[in-house]
Amino acid sequence: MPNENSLNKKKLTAMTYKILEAEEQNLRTRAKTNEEMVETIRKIIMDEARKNY
Amino acid sequence: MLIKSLKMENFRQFKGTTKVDFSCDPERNVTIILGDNTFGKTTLLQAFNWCFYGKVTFNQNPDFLLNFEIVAEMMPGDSKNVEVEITLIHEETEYVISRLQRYTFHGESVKGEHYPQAKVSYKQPDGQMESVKDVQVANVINNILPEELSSYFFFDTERVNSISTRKDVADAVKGLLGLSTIDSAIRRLGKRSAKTTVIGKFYSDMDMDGDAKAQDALNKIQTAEEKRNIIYEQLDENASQIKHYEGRKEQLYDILRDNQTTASLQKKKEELESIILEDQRALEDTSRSYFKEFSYGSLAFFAQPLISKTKVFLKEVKVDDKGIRDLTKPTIMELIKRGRCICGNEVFEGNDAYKHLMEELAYVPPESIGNTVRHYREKINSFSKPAERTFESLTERYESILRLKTRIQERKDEVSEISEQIKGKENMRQYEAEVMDVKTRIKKLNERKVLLIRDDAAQKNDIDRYRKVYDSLLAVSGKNKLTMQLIQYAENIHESLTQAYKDKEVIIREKLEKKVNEIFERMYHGHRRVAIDQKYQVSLLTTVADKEIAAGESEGSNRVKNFAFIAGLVALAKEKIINEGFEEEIDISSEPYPLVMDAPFSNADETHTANISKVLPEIADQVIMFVMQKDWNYARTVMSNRVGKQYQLNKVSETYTKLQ
Repeated sequence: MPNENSLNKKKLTAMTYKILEAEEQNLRTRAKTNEEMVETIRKIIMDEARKNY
Repeated sequence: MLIKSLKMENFRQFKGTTKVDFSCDPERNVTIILGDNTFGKTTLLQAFNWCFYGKVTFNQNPDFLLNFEIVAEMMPGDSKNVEVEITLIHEETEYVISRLQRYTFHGESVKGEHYPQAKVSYKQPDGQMESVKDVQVANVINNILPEELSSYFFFDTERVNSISTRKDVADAVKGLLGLSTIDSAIRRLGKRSAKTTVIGKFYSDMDMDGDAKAQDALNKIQTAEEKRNIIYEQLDENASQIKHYEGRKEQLYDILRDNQTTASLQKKKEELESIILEDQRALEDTSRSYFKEFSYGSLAFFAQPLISKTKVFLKEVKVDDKGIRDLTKPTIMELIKRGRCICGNEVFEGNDAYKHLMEELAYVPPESIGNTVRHYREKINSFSKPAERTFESLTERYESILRLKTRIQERKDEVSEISEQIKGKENMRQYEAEVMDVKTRIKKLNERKVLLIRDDAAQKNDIDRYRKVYDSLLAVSGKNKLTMQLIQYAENIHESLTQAYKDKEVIIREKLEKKVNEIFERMYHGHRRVAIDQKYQVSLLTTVADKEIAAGESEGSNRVKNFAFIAGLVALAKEKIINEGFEEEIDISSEPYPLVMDAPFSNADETHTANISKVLPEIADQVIMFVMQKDWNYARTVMSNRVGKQYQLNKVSETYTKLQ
């Protein structure tokens, strides 16, 4: 079970939103390969985690 | 998805270029294309299927799509194209899907070249058209409209029975309603043991140089994760078996419940048969007694009128009681002649014995009949005595015979009725044995489930323990600290999406069934209910004696059922069902869908036609119908204010139809 104490809920929601948006976008066009999508999601998580709310 | 236009080039009887623009106006969202039989309505529907999936279901020459008049004009070496192009809007993006097949006159005949590939392009936000990679074309099309559901969306009413009733369309339905997005995200987030996933990659980023203990802990975590995966698979398999046997158990209980009724009926039948046997014996006894009594008592009974007359006649006769009973004149004369009385005294004329005998002559016939009459009276009184009861007794016995006969017949009727009811019912014992077997299996499976859950808990404990070790070893470096946090974020999202997926899987079927039934009730004038199973196959149920049974489906009810199903799906796709339940609203776009229908009113009665015409344009954002003029006459009264575009098919020849 991930430790939620150190996690920022706002960031979590934003990450979830952006991941689903990216997935939805790619389902429309299949423009990105699986590997590219994995990288996109990694980047979403890293970028959001770095942000200061 | 809303369809903007369909463009055909030499597609079957549509010679040359034929373009149809469909209404996308929300108020007037119906496009009607009128045409009688053989005018090309089904060809239009097939054009959609061919463009999307490269498949057609024509009865004749299904593999040859080029217009025959064009073929007739071709010379050896000539080539002509068949092409269908559909422009549509899906998730606020404009797509153009096209499929082209080239036909060439080779040798003596015209033949189509290789399997025609579709092309898909979409408009980017800057207005530029971008092509989808060839390998992804089928996936993009399936995302727009899953092929498994195409027979519902491109609805060929007259071939409604060709819709597969066994196909599992669950994934297609879930995809259409937005679960594919969540599913893709879950798969890509992955887990620590899968190195090509987001979480797996984050783990690979950890700096573990020179830290053998951390590596060891990670290996143990990953091994435990793998074990957990195997346990999950076994739990799934176990759960599926439990579900299967629970289902079978319920079926068997139903059968046994039915058989219990049969058993009690059987018992009742046996009891009745036993009573009938007793009654038949009683009937035989009573009949025998009746005839016996008749034989013995009838003479006295029937002689009574005559005896009564005799009594009256003899009433005046003086009864003398001096004579000896049954003594006659010939007897006296014989004693005199013999010369000796029966007491031994000598009898000769003049002695006392002789005198006594001569005196007795005065009391016997013909000198006197008083003695005889007296004796006769005594005799008939004794003879008539039983006749007083004969009639009453015979009547009682006769009534008893009639009662027994009626009762036997009634019970025989009851036995026949029961026999009819239990005719062909199975033997209960084999099912009782199977119930025992199924219960044992379920018990064993539940025991196995407990063991698996225990094993899983042990693995989880191991993971938690080694993770603490691992985290404490790695948290020493700032970089690893950050990576650990990223992993925690990713795992948290993975967990919440997995839970959301599970929840929505259940919700979707429940909501869809509810929605389909609401629509079905509005369309169907009868008392039935639509049920949707795990494979998202629909069936009609009707209630008989408080029990829902799958009644037969006529062509009409089957059509309304399918309309209701697809309309329900369309209605639900518009709702933001997938977005519900997240802590903050996540906007996974909802999507409108069109209904494209060939001859939707074919063989439908006026009420169904009116209901369908009213409901479909209210539910779907776009309705495209290919209709016969005679059917349109009924539908128009209800639907005309929703019609945004209307076309007429004009059959120029058997091989050439124009759209006007």
